[in-house]
Amino acid sequence: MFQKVTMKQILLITDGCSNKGSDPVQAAVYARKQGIAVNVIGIVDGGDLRSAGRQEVEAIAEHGGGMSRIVAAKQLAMTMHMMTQHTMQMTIQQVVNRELKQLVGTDSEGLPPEKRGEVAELVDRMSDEAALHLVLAVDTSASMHDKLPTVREAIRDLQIGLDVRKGMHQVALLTFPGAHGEDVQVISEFSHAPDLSGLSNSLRAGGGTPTGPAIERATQLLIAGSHTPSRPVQKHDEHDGDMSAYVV
Amino acid sequence: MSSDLLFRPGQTVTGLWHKRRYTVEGLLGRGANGEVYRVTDSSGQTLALKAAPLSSGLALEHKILKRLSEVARGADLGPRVFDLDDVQVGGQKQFFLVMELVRGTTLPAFLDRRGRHWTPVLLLQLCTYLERLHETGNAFGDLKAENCLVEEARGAVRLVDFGGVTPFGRGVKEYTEWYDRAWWGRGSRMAEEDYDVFALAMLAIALLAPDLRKALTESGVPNGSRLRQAVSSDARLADWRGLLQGVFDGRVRTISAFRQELLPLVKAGVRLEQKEKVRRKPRDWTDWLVVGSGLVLMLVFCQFVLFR
Ligand SMILES: Nc1ncnc2c1ncn2[C@@H]1O[C@H](COP(=O)(O)OP(=O)(O)OP(=O)(O)O)[C@@H](O)[C@H]1O
Ligand SMILES: [Mg+2]
Repeated sequence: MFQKVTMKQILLITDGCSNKGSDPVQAAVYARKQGIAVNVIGIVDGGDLRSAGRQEVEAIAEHGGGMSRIVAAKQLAMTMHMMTQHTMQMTIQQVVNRELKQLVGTDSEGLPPEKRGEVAELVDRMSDEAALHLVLAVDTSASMHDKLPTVREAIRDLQIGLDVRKGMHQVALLTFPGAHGEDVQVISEFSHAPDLSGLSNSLRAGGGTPTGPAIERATQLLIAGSHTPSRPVQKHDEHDGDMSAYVV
Repeated sequence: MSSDLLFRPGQTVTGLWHKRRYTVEGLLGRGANGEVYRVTDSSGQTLALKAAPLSSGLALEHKILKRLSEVARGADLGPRVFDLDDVQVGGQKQFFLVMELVRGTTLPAFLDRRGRHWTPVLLLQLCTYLERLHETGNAFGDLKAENCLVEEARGAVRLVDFGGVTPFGRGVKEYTEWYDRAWWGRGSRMAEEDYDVFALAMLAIALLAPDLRKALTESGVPNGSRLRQAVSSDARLADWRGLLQGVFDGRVRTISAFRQELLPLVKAGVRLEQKEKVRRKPRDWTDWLVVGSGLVLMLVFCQFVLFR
């Protein structure tokens, strides 16, 4: 049954505070209810990631059941890899814990420590084999200009990491704001290897930072994108309390 | 991540399951996954305790170290493991692994004191560990200077941090960009023998020409042509050129091929050490250490010349 799990993630990359459109934290709450984990990376060099921006980054991830990190541009690739990997494991760990509860009445941490190695190995293998749907949402406001080449490299690097997984992955790429002044633009629909060429074209000098609309759009993509027979993780997980294991 | 440490010196850590008690003496190091402390157990034995907020990584590392101690055939492949347990810290559960304390110096500090000509000897020892590990069907993954310690007196290398060990054919679990062939655009991030071979080559460069790493990675974007240029022109890498280029060209893909290329360098290193010994006539006990380690060096070398 584990192979049928589709792990759904949004990875948001920003260097500033949202200032346009809906509330990103509310958008993250909604995404989480759909069984989607929202991870956020705040880039510090240049940009305007002051304390308001940092707090927003943390709040989005916390309410979106994901993790957040504030990093320098050169740490971006490593951080993206780590977050994606970690969140996949958390998603599978939840599924496994639920199975364990039914079978033996306890989750993995209720097992004696020496027994957990087997479970950890299982989780490891399953998260490598399960399908991943990932939407990358990249802030393309003016301050991101110098960082976009690094972002592109980092996405390429993430791709290299995903390529060696056994499970299939589908990655979509969107930018906020879009190239023509719209809040969000889908640069590349779900595909095995997203097309990055549109990334630098969408830079908008002076464009705002519509983070909330970007999360909403990413959520729509993920809901539409998983119309496969394999149903997502949250099946009997409508009450979102169970998702708290996402929070790191 | 907060910068506060989990434990303070003098504090007692009591496992919730096995009830063993450890007294914290100090911090040994911290990484992306956890904090490692020097502790003593109830019998006074000094050990290393790795603590982390997640149980799964430690459980896996424990499993791997246990398995390795069974197949290592006398080689100290990884630290021996003694305990795996939970502990309550300020209302939160934390997880810990207790293992052998590896007493040693970092590779750069060791080479600063004893000379760069020790580099091939250290790498030769790593070759042996990696070969043993590969026989178990795993790659080490996160091979880097920070995960190696040298026992100063014997000049013997030990590996720590087995969190990156990955079964062949799977994506490498943990890696560090400088050592990662995929980052340099020279192959996949798949756990394979030649993944570790590439990391060995990058370790050699990092040890012989430490400033290169900073210069070549500053932009955060890999610069493969500058790497090649440095390898072909940097005087400090002159003797290593054949080996390094062999790795980059894909001619040297196995640990045993790497070792073959390394042997002449080891030989040269041994000769240099003997010359130094003659120059510095033994005067105090530290000189005897040098003589002792020179002997180890000879033995290591002989082992590979005679038994290969
Ligand atoms: N058994 C040991 N004996 C002595 N020192 C150790 C031992 N294990 C770890 N250390 C020290 O603690 C440091 C951090 O440990 P380790 O690398 O295991 O942590 P980590 O969180 O897995 O790090 P990384 O960021 O490399 O994944 C090591 O670099 C080493 O200096
Ligand atoms: Mg380490």
